[in-house]
Amino acid sequence: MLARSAHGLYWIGRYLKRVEHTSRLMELQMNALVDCTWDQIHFGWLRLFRHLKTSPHNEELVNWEEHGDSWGLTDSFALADELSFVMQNESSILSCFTMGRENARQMRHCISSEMWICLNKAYFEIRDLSIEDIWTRDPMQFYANRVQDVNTFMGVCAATLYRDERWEFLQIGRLIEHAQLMLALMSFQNKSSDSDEFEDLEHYDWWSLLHCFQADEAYQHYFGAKIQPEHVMNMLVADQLLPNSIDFSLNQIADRLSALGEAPSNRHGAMANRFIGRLVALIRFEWPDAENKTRMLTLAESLALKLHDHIATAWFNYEVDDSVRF
Amino acid sequence: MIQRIAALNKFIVDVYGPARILSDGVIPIDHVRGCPQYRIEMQGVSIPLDVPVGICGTDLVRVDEGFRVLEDNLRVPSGVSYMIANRQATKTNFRELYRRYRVRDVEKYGTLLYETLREFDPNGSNDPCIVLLTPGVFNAAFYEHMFLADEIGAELVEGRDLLVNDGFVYMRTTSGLRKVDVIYRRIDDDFLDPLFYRRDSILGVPGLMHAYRKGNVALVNAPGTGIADDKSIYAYVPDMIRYYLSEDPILLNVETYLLRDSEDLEYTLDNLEHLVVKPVGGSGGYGLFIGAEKTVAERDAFSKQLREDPDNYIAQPILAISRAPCWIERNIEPRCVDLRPFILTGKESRLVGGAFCRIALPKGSLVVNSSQGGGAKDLWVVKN
Repeated sequence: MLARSAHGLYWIGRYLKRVEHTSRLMELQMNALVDCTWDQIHFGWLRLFRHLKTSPHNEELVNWEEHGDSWGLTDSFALADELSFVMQNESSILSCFTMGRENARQMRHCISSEMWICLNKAYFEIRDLSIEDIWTRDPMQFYANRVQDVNTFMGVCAATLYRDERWEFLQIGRLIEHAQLMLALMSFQNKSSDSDEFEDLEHYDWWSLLHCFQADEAYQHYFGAKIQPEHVMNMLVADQLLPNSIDFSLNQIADRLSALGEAPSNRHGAMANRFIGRLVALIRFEWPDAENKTRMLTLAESLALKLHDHIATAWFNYEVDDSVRF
Repeated sequence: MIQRIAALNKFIVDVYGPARILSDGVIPIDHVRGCPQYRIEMQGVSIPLDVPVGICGTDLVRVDEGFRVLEDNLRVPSGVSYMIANRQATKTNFRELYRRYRVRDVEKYGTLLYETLREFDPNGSNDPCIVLLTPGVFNAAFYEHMFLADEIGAELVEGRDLLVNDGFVYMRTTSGLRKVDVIYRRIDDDFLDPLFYRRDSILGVPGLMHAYRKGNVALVNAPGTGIADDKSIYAYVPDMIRYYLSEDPILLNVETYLLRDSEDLEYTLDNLEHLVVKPVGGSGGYGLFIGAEKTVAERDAFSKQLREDPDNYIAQPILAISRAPCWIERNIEPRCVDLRPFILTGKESRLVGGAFCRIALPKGSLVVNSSQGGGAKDLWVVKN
């Protein structure tokens, strides 16, 4: 298929996964606003912005560190707006939805009409909304609906998209985005529990993550009701059966890359395969015995970034001299 | 229409080749060589199948005397997707009515288009690599480009997806560079190749004309076809039919005055209130001067403009074109309509039994162009 179309599908997968991931955590944060402590609310916002590698456009909110201030309830309205509707923020839900849809609009001939209708419908549902519209009603439901939108889209996609390269690239984009976001999230969570700044980090913050990524029932089944950060971390990082774990995503990426076969740029295709191999080995075999988990997560994060670069250079933006001709 | 497109194709091949029609004085040489649509780069180029115009959209109107050709669109005619979309809308909303008539099918256009494009394959294979070249998502006709690419099973490519190497055109695919045989281009000549035409074009493919001239890729329609749909050349189409085909034209033109001719200019200036004046290189209904709708002062000012630059204009009588009932703000009202049937030509000419039917939506308006707020209708050609 056309390299640009594959690139577009890859980014549809990435953008929509980011919508889903951010929405999940926003739903969690909206929940926290109801009855959590001031520290937990601050931690929740910080976790969101730091692991998404973004910061608010509102200067007053950006300068909180300089003033030794924290993000609390009163800032939450503006912070939620930032991650929901501010188009200048590339991680905001609306911004990612718009970009995902824009890619789909250009690739309409590569996706099924059902997929387009589903995505379009979801987009038009939020396009004209503002934070005021959702804040006074039911913000949690708003974010839950966005997760549902993406899940529905992926379901329609699974039911209607031909299982050729189109499917593979869409899935690779979705899985890489998931792996990168989860690595960043786990890395932040792990650093925070080791640091003095968040010494009061309570079991809520770990439990909420399990709940957020549908791992709570499995956790209870294996470890009981007591929250042990180490077990939570192991589960979200290395559980082979949990669909939202990092290990699960990485293995799926390896399968998808193997299904794609040889890349136009053999060199970068081989590099991509080597990087996914290293990542899988790192999480599956080195993680359980690693003493410094933070270091390992940081290493995995950088490998995942390079994996993206090699995939892009191997299949989408390859050098003409490198490539196969037919 | 088949007769007309046959003559137009012969004309284009001739003027970029031996130019017999010019040396025989049928058309004045300066009318052709001085036309902005004349592409010197096409001189001496061997055109696949000797068919520069594979896809033609001819605009027809009906007047008291019958059908007349308003203009030929030989560069990148658009609107065919709306013809099919209108049909689908009719079939969805007027199911019973539609069933009662034996309406000719327009939805097989995609198959006919594919068959036509396939015949242009420079290698003569049965399975050429066909792509549709679009300016991109910001083009007003992008929907149509996408629709047609889907219909013919071709990749929808932009200039940045293609490259020229060793005189061949390749597209970047996820399996490597794939050689392209036929390009159904939906971008204007000016933007096709920055090495030949506009240097600032980022829509085209550097070196594309080189590959085309070598015969390694087919461009449909060929560059330079605008020479035959220029409004000043339009007046000569009946002469072309007689010259190349030795036949009388079946479909007639609208009477046309070429203002570069002093007699025609004087006639036009004397009768401006009864005429519509058009710039020769214009399209989309832009720049029309409809005398009857203007004040005396406006006509005087325009007359001065015509005297200063007569070569750039033609004039035609204001036609009483046929009207059709239209659903306008909950009422049925008459509106002027025209028809754009699409003629596909490869080794043979093909038509579907229908046309893109355009409506002038404002009351009393004669301008049907979509870019001027025109609407559209489904048109039924009923079987006998």
